[in-house]
Amino acid sequence: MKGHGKFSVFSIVFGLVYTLAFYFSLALFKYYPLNGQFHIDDQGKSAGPPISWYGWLATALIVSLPIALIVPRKWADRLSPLWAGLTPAILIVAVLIYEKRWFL
Amino acid sequence: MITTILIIHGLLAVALLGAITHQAFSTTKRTPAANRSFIDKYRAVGAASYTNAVIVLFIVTSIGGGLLYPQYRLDVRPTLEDLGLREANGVFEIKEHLAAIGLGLLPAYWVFWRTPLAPEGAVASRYLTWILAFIIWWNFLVGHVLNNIRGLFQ
Repeated sequence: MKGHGKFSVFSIVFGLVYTLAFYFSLALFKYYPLNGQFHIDDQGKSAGPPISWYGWLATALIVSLPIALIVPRKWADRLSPLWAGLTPAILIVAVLIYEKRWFL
Repeated sequence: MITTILIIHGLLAVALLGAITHQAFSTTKRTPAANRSFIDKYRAVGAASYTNAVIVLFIVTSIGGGLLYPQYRLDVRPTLEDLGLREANGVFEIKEHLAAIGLGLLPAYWVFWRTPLAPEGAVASRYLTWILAFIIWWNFLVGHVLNNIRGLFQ
């Protein structure tokens, strides 16, 4: 199937990078809703609880978008369409296994 | 304002749930027209026509969720911790990760549902649709349970 490669590469890399980013706590930035500020560095307890989710999404986007744009179309189209379907399924299973810590 | 966003977020989620469920069922085996049950008729839709609606609704609903998140982090999550409802925070953590994975897979989902449909992409489009359906159902149910949790677990 021609023309799917770059889209599949983006989706696969985005999911992988997001999962690694949250696993290793690698947020590009954090949002502190108590004072409504974004920070690259961790703030003290007085800043209130942070939200890392926006930063993980941004991390995944800034890695996956350039890769999808740079990868040559011929190479990307060699990727089996099956990987685009399998990778998110594997990532979801990984997330469920990791987050079972909340239920123990 | 936050209540308005929450209601709109919930309504968009209902529309998204309907669209993805129709599309997911339409990827399963169809029966001949003469023997069609209600379920057969439910899945006898033009699956590809749902794609753009699902993508737009998923993105807009996720933006709504992102706008509601600060209020959740400041008010709801500490309340859940005070009530000892650790599992409730766990299912929300899964919800945010699934939403992110779902946002990421939208480009691949779009390209495999692009018309004219390529036979080589049929398996991928089916997988991606069912994965999105799982994500959307999980997030919908978790969102509603958390929204009503004080009434549910008194």
